[in-house]
Amino acid sequence: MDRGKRNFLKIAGLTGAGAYVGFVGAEAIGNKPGKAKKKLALVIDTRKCKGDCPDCIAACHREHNVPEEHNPNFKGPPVRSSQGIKWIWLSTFGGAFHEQVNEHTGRRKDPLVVLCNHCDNPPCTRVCPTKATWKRESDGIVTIDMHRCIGCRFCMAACPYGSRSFNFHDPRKNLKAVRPGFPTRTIGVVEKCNFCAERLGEGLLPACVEACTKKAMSFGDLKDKDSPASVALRSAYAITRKPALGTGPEVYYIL
Amino acid sequence: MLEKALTGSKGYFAWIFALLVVIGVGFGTYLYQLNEGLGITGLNRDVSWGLYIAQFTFLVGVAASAVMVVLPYYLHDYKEFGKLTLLGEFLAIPACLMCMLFIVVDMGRPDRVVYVFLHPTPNSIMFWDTVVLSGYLGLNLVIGWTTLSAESKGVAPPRWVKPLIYLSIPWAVSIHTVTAFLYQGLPGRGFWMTAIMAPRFLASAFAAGPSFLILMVLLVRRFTRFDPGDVALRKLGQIVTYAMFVSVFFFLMEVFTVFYSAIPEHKHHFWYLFVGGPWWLVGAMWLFVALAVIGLVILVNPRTRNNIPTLAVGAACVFVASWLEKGLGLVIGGFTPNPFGKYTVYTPTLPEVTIAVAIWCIGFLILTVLYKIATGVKQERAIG
Amino acid sequence: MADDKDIQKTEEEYRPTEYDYRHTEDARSDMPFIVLGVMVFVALMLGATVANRGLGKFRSKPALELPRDAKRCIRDTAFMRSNHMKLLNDWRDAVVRGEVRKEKIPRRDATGKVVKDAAGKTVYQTIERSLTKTCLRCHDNPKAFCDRCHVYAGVTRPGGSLKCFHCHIMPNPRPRAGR
Repeated sequence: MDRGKRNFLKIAGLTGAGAYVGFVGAEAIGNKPGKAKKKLALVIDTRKCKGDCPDCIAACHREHNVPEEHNPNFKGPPVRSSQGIKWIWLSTFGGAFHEQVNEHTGRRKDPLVVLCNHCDNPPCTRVCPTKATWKRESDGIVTIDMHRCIGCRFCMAACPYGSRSFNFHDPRKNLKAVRPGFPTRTIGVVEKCNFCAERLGEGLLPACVEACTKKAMSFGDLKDKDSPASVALRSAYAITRKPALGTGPEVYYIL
Repeated sequence: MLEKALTGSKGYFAWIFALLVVIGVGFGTYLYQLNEGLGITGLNRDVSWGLYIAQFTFLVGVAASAVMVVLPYYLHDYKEFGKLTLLGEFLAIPACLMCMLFIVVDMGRPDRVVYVFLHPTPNSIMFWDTVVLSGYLGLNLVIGWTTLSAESKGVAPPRWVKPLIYLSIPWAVSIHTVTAFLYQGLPGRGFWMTAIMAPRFLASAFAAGPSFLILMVLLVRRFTRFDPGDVALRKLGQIVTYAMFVSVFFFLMEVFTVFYSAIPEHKHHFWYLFVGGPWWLVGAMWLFVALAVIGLVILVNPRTRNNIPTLAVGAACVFVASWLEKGLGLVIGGFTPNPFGKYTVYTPTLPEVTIAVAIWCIGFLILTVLYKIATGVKQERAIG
Repeated sequence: MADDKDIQKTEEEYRPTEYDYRHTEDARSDMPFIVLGVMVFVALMLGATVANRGLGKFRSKPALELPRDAKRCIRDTAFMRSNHMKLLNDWRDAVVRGEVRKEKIPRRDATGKVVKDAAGKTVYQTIERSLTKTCLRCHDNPKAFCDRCHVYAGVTRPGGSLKCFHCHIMPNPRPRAGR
């Protein structure tokens, strides 16, 4: 290779690197998150919900094609339950609020419903290297672009609530029935509760809220004083999970 | 200069062939993982990073440790390291490549890896880790290759390499600092939530990397006529001793903070690693303690440190101890218990271990070839 | 294990033991390797061609199953043929990331011409940017449309399926005459 070609390659390389730095800068400036216009929240009244019926979980998992953990028809390597997908599920009180446990809370035997908290200041979106997950400016929902996710699982490490699941297996292999209205996910991406963004777009309530026969869930915009969630929060004292971390969870529990 | 890698003894080719066989088996296993998903590993919802990311973390340290020979030679003009700098730089190259491979095999969608560059996200530490790691790889490739080809032609390295060498010194520190930031900036993970994570990473890296270099130098002079000299080896031993002392000291600081404050969320991770975990993990963690103590006893005593065979034993102890702590305990311990206080046992599976071993073999293959070239050129120059 | 005296070795002792190829004039010993390499190259190339269902079938155009009732697409055929993936990606980003589901497009008549009103202005209609709700409503059998063309064009391996349908759910094709 003569000197001319070498120099050309060097200059081309440096130009490319310079252009890329500019591109990164533009991306950084152009992607400042704005304030969410709405503040969607879910209030769970644990005086009404005793965690003893499967309605909300079944409705959610049917709505979003969330695979079963153990499908007897599954062919291939066995799926461990620790590799399963969860959007909304049951936890013990001590699991969800373990900083609140003392020797008398043992009396509190009823399981709690837990799901993504759609935080005001979500650590999961902060760490994503491809902008595959972000907090929507329109309504504050923490959402995932399944087309963009590279499956690095940094968001799972960052979430202090264990709300994110990873598709360790092809989810279709574990689905007994596929509901045509909602896409399944693909192998190798992260997923979680989306506050039923697709139903909200059609003017419906989230599937879990609609399915709850005990009327234990109130959903709405906390910036609207008359939304069911605002009304529920005015009526009783409610707590959130791990408030000391500053994430600002938008799922509230009335005890 | 590449042709130097194409000639060699029977033993050299047998070694290369053995590595290629393991790499082939690992590649096949990786195709299986690509097809079935990461479900074939022991990873799960709670321990969502495991062996792969732990190896990545450990190897970033090995890569960064090249600075421990570059800095004394170029900043302090410590002549004895003259023959060693190239071996250090050439160790950083396979270490960086292994880091990248471990990231790729850990990804759920490796087909989308280009999105990291198409959609750069400066608020993600992962983005910066990609930037500093590829930069460091590039620096070491350019520096190592340019100085070696200058040497093979018998001329002084071009002047523009010097600034790059000086740049590589803080850059080495940056790669391990950024890697620590991946962990220490996460809320709700008590085990990693410590401001001395980055200093701890650097200390253990500067112990593990040079101790590995000691072992490599001993192998190099066993199989070739190239010898950086006992003085350089003993100096490396001194560096390892100080770094390992700092590393153990930092670890004990963590133990004090966690257990004196007695905050359960921080304590439980240590308990799991040293008492409550599966037998192999608890065993590995106590082996780490034992090897760290044995290594320090050997290294702190001038007689055993300056005697090359015992120095080798001490270096091996330090290297394995650091691997157990960082290449195994750090990631698993941080994820257990999970955010619900639940203990999910992570056991690496056979395919997972096979893939990890194969990536190590790729590293050894590149290292062997680079060292073959380097020693070949240096021997030639020695003849004159 | 080597020790200090190695450094002091003389020139004679350093003579390389291995045969150094750079000093040979005769490169004939490399011939078998060159032939082997060429053979491997030819075998791989032929293998790829044969795997692509043989040489003869290249010229036969795929029989694409077109929508039964719908005559007009949201864009003209030439545009869709070359830009469908760009359109789908733009839709994807607009819906998922921009939260804009609807799109206004010019209305076309049965012949594919853009409809104008009395004043000569283009008449618009609103559609939903959705693979399943818009595209697949007419193209209800993607296996006989998308897949066939993709396999013909060599962008999907025969028998493989498009990545879109790993997540998005294929509709059940409606029965049609002549099938």
